[in-house]
Amino acid sequence: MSEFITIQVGQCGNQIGDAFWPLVLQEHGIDTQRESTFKSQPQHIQPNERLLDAFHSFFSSSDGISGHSFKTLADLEKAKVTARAVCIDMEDSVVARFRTGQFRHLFDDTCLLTNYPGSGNNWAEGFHTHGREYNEKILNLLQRSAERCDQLHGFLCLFSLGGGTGSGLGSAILSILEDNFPLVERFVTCVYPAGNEDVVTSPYNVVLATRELTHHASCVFPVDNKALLDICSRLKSSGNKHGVAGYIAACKPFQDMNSIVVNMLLHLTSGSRFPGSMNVDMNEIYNNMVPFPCLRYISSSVSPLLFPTSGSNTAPGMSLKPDDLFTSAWSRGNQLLKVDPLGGTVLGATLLARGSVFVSDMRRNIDRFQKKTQFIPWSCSDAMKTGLCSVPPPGLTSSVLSLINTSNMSSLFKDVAQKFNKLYQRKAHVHHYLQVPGFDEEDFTNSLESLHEVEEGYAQLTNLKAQTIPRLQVL
Amino acid sequence: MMSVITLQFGQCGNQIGHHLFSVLSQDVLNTNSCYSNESKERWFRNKPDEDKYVARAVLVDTEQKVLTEVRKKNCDIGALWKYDETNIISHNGGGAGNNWAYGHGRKGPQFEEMFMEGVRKEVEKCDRLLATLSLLSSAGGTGSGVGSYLMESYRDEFPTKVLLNALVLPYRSGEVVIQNYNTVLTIANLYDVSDMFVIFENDNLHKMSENLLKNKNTDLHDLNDLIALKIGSLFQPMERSEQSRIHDIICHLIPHPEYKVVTIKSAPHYPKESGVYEASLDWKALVTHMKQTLRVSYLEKEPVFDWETKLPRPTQNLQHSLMQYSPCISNFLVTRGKCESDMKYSLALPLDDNDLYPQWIPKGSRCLHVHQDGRFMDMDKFISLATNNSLVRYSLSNIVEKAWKTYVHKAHLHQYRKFGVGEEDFLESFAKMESVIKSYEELK
Repeated sequence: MSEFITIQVGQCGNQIGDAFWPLVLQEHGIDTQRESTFKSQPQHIQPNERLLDAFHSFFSSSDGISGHSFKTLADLEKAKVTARAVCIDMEDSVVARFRTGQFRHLFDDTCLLTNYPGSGNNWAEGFHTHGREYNEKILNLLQRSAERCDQLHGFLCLFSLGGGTGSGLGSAILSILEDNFPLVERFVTCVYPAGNEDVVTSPYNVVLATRELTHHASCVFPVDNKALLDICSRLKSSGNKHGVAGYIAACKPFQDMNSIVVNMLLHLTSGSRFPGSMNVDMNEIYNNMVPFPCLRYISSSVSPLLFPTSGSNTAPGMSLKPDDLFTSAWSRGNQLLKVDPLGGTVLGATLLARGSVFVSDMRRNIDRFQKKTQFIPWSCSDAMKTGLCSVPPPGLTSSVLSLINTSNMSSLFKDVAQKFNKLYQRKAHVHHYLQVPGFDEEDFTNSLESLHEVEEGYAQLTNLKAQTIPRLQVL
Repeated sequence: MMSVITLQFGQCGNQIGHHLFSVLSQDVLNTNSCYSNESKERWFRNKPDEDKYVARAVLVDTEQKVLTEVRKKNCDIGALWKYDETNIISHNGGGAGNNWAYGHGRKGPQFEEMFMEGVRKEVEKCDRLLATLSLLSSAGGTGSGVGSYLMESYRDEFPTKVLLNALVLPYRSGEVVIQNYNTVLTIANLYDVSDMFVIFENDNLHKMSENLLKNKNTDLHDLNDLIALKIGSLFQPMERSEQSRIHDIICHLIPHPEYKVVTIKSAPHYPKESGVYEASLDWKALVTHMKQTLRVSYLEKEPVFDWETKLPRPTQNLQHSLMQYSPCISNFLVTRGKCESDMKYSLALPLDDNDLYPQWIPKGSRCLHVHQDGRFMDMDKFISLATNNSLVRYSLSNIVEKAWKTYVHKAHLHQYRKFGVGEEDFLESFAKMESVIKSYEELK
């Protein structure tokens, strides 16, 4: 079964990673015992064969994984299990948690890379200075992780675009991956800043990093903090109707926001990890969702948004009807990005269901989706990909993931460009970038141009007139 | 004794394959069917020291999940049959990504050696090879791309052996975004390689499952069961063995190399728990029902209704002046179950009628009827009609239309170009498809 290497860069990326690993372990029925969040004794999900088969998707062991049955962290330690992860930060604060926290056995020194001082919220610092200095080291880490894989199918890259390290070094890593692992997919989940952060230079960083994403990632699943915050506060205000809301009230907002992202990722990779009657491999996503090379930005949402933790186990109200799951998955308010996925023209949509969803449920919801949506004219409303995975997330009977590549994505880039121009007109902070060796003033203008290209690419498709060239005639 | 080797490609092909062998084993293993010995030899091999029959099959997939499940089922103690472990071929390199070009250009060659080795071994184990039957879907990348590539290799090594393709066409929408590209490339590339295509359409099967089998929660295995039944009913042994040789079925159905696409209509299908419909039907009604499935609307000459998704009705008069039928090249009718011998020879007469065929098709080569008194799947009566007729052009044309639309906007072409399938290759495939469609269109 497919294997994935998770690459966490910068503070934000590593925080998402921090939420990622406990949830992965939970999916495999391993007791993580985070007492602070669990009020009751976690109930075990019986690790069945399928979960074990899929275990090596995210973990490896020099002793081999097959034949083991893991229940606790101690079991993992005994079997020398390590996470398939590369954690990079130019500050030590978050990565230190991996070094010393309860999961320290999962992360050995071969997958951690830290440095001091950081990148000073400067993309150029991260991309050029650190990118050059650590190029070889990073490549080494990657190769070592890749050598432990039998069937490496994808890199999951996690970073934010607002700061310096994640945005700069994170985007630099994409080229390293592309050069050295050309056939392995590069999926990027990146956090677009909400605009009220304290990083003044973030518009620069976002634009500069976006150019790298456009050219070197397979698919980008942008996430923005504002959308995540809104979702969290909505879930919270919906009251203690079910256990999930209760769980949310019990912990910190950032952790929830990250958990939402993690659940999306776990669902996204589920088709590659677990069996199902209509498997979806990760490399199918790119081929189905990206009609033109630059238009690789995909709005995602998973329903239910938060999976219950093992502490709250099967929460009542979580066994929603399939149709409700689908509706909420493609609804505007549940997207992990502030974008209206159905308002524009849809270039491609993927619906992946886990658990007890039948083909007939899927067919019905494909029809519903097609009625709601305007598709790109060449597709005759057929630009849809569907998948069924038979293993549901822990504690749920079913869940649905929606991925939509929409022309409305242009609004994201428009917004980003506006913020950039505001700053750039006054040439504010430009000198910080120019003094970094390797960075050129042209990088600003080129990146902005590349951004416009993507924005235009999407915008043009909004009102695309269908071309009619008659079919070939046989004489 | 004569045998068939089955090739299973990709997720869909492997799922169907499993259903097919389950149907076959249910039909003949452990039963006293009059054709069970012949059938066992046809689909399975059995060494005295082995506890299970071994399917004559070679399995290929680019990812391991489906084949892992297959291997697990192989270990079921209660099962009567299994696959040969060494014929289960998968690679670690990851799936074909729904991309025909990737499957055909990169993945296919990686499998070639092991695949041909498996095929050679199977061929050697047959006293006489009747035909090779491949199972695949055209939507994804593995069945379509890797399958096409490997069948080309097969054809190179066995230029004179009969090669049949059972090809599953995806739902009209919502399975894979680039399914129409993949389907066009698959059919166009296999058209000259293959001796006969048997086409199955998911939409049609889904409707049959909902309307006839009353499956509210229709799932893929329901569709696969239908496919398995249809294939089984056509290829299980029949009475007059000189006509039931698969080679002869093909000779009859494909009299001209331009017309190679066949569909199988079958009846009756009813929910497992009820046998009501079965009892009330006589052979004549079933034959009439089969004929209904070939109807088209009088004015537009288009298919009005998918009659196969309706219940067969007791015998009725079909001599309505407004009834029009889609022109056929040839039909092959199989009836299975008890039938009085004087009736046997007149059953197929309605399918010989002039209004079914273009004038130039001589009476003797229109409809061939073969019968088997032994019950199929323990059903009183089962009828199937393999038909080579003009209706198929609507499905093909629909696919080409959509693929062409995407093509003129140049969408998704970059993914194919990356693996060596350029615009010219696409044009060539489009031209091939258009010429097939046109041939069928011109039947009058």
